[in-house]
Amino acid sequence: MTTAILEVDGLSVSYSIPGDGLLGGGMRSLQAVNDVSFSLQAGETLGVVGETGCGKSSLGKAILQLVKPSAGRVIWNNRDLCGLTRKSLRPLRKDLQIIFQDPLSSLNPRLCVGEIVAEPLLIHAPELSAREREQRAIAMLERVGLRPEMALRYPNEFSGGQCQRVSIARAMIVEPKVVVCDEPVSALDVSVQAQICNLLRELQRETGIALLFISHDLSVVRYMAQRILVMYLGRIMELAPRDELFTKPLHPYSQALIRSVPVPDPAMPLNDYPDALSGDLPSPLDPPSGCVFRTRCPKSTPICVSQAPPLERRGDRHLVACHHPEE
Amino acid sequence: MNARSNILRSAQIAKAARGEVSESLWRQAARRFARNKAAMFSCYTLVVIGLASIFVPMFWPHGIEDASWEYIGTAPSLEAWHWFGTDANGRDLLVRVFYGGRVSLSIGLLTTLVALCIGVTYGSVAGFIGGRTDGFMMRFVDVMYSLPLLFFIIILVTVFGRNIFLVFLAIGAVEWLTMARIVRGQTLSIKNQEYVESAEAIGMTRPMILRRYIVPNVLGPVVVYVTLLIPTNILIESYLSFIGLGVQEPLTSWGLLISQGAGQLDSAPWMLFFPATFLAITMFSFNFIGDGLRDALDPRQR
Repeated sequence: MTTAILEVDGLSVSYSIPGDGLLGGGMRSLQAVNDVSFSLQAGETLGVVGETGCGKSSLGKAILQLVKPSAGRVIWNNRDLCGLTRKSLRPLRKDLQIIFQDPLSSLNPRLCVGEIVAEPLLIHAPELSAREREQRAIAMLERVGLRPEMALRYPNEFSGGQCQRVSIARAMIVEPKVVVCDEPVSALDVSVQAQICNLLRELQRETGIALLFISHDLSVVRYMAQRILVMYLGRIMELAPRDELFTKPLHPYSQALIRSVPVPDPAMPLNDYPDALSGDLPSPLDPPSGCVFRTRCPKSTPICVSQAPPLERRGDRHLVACHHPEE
Repeated sequence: MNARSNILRSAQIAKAARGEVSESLWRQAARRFARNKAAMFSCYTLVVIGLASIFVPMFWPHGIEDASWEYIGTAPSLEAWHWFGTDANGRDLLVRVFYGGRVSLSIGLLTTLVALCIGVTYGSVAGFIGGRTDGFMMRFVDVMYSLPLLFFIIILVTVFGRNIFLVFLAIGAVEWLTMARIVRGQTLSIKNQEYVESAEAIGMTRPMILRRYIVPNVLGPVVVYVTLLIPTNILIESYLSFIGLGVQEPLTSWGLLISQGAGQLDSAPWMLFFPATFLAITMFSFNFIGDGLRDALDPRQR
């Protein structure tokens, strides 16, 4: 259970953004992910939380090399994925799959869902006959809770939840070891969110896949993940087992996030979140010096301005990057 | 499980899984198109007009330049095979209308072909490369856009003289701009779709992504635009001929016939009526087909 199957080491992603100027002017670089390191254990779910724009999705895509990382390594089976060419990456893609946020736009509108689900087999199991591929696709559709006759329908005929089931079927058909779930339930209704979460957990129990579960919804992550990674402006703020993070968060940002989760208690007065985080995320084009969170941190001191806090171990499996972690 | 024995469905999925995707997709579109009565009727109409334009001038007893002194400006009658009447020079109008159809239709098709080739190549290259190249290429298109068509053609005609191929070239050279914009926009938006990323994630090769993801999604709007561009170009030719910049006598086209008919409206209204009717029917047909194709190719709009 504690064997690391995927190792992310110092991963950084930067995008070049066109500057002002009429024809592009100079390019500026935006650091979306900055020196992120963690390991994913076999069969676990690692939740990644943070505000919109904090680099969660970039991190997920960089692990799969859908976005080229600017630095760092992603170690899978003793090989660094970052240095590989498209071609040598291809066979490894079988083990690493992704589920996207937007259920409809992540499915090719011109293919019926049977073809969509069977498609990965074309690449990763070319030895299968067409009939076997089709049978597997239909079995997979049934596995994710869709009826076999739906295989001939097109994505636009499905609801968001059903589309997401198709995406899951497409990812799972090649029997991956790791699935990056990039906000898989954010676009769905709450009741459907629960169904999809349960489906993912069932599949995980059956196949032992590891999930990197990206979400901005703390309650969803709390339900899904065993460990949680809190990101802010492309950096890891805190990485801790779920219960430890929720009962005793060390980083002021994690504390603020956890406090801001609405409590479903009608007796509680509205607007009663005195410690809610104020202000906006600073521009990632121009991040604050030192600790990136200091501009919104209630505990900010001069050392936070001058020095970025390193990610340090506090407790058994608890890492935090803060100069003044709450003990 | 029992549903898996459904042979018909299995056959279709099997075909799809073998990669014969385009067939099933386009066949679906064809089925939707065939259900559209207006579009199908327009197709038949166009086929009839096209065949008539090709064959009637070959077999009709009168040639397009045969002037007859006995029948100057006669109204339509079954007598002496002047079904559409004759013009002021005693030439048979029916053969001239169908001969004009040859010229108008071929100008419409050829100019559209020119626009299609330039536009699709230019637009997809700009969209695919993106960045600064895209910026330069599309600014050039913007500049060309700002040039009025008529002005452009008058310059061409005054510099190179009147020539039917110049008309082809001029119309094609102007009409590709919109095509380039459409194709570029489509390529750009599809390139950034999550489903293209999902194809990357399963390790699909670039040619496969292009074939299964980009092309089918770009082609829909292009095909629709083509069917709408053909009548536009026929109309442009007509109006160039009407003001005397297009096709020259004794060659004729619908635009030229309409122009001559308009001059004789009081004495010989049939000279306007017949070419104008054929032009209008052709316009309507192409537009109905374009609408039908749009509905058939883009299931999401339904």
